[in-house]
Amino acid sequence: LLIQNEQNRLTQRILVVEDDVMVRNALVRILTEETYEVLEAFSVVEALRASGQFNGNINLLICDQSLNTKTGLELVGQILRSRSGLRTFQVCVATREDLARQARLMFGAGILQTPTLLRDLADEVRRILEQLKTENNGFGAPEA
Amino acid sequence: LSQISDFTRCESRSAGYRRLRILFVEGDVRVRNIIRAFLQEGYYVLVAANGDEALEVSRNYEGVIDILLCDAEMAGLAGLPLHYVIDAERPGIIILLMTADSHKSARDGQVQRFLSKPFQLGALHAALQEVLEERPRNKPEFGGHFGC
Repeated sequence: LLIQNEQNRLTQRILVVEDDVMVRNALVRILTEETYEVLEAFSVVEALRASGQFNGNINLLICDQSLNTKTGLELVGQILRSRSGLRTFQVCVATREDLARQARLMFGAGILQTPTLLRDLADEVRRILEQLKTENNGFGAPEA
Repeated sequence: LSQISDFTRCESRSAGYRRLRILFVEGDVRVRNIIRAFLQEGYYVLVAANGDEALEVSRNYEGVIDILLCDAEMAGLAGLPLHYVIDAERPGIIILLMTADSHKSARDGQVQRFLSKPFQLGALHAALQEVLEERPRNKPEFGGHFGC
C-alpha cells in the first residue's frame, strides 16, 4: 500500500505561481521533497505559458493570492478555462473571512495563511489531492 | 519571511556531507522547469527567473552557493552581467554560463566554463562534472552528484 501511495504521488503535478523568489524556492523545495512533480512560475504570464505549453495533467495550482498584475483568483479563472479539473490552493496574508467577504476565495479551494509553518503546506496539499483522488476515483482521468 | 530564513538556515546547518548548491537562473519558464527538475536529481537547486531575483536569492540565502548557472546575457546591477556581480559578492563561486555566443564567453575572464546553446541535458551534466573536478581541493566535502 505504501509503495502504491508513493507511485500515486509521483504522478501528481503541481504548478506553483509565486512572485516572491524566496517563498517560491521554499515552496518548490518542500513539494519536491514530498515527491510531487513541480512546475513553477513567477508571474501570471509565465503561469499561463507554463500551463499552455505543458501537455500533461496538472493536478493542483498553488498561487499567491496577490500577484503583480492579477489576483490569484483571476489567474485561476484563466487557467481553469483550459484545465477544468484543476484544484486550486491560494497562499495569502488575508484571513479566510476577509477573502470570503470579498468573494476572492474559490469554493472548495485550499488556503494557506501566511505566516504559517511551511510544513503545514505539505499536509494541506496532501489533503486536497487525496480529496480530488477520491472524487475522481484515482488519478489519470483526462482533464476536460 | 522569517520562516523562509529559518528554512535556509536549517539547510545551511546540515553538517558534513551535503549536496552541492546551484543557483540556476533562466528566463524561459519552460526551459527553467525542465532544467530545474533535472538538476534536482543530484543537486540542491535555488532558482531565479531573472537577474533581480538571482541577486535577491544570492543576498538572502545564508549558506554557501557552489555554482552559478545562468545565461551569459543575464543582466545584473546597473547593466553589469549578473555573473560579475555575484562573483564579486560570493568569491569563489563557480560560474557556468549558458551562451549562444561561445567565442564571446571564452574571452570573459570571469567564466570558468560555458555551455553552448542549445545543449542536451547530458552536456550540462558533463560540464558540471568538469567544473567540479577542477575545483580547489581545499574546499569542504561535498556530495550529491548524479548517480551518487
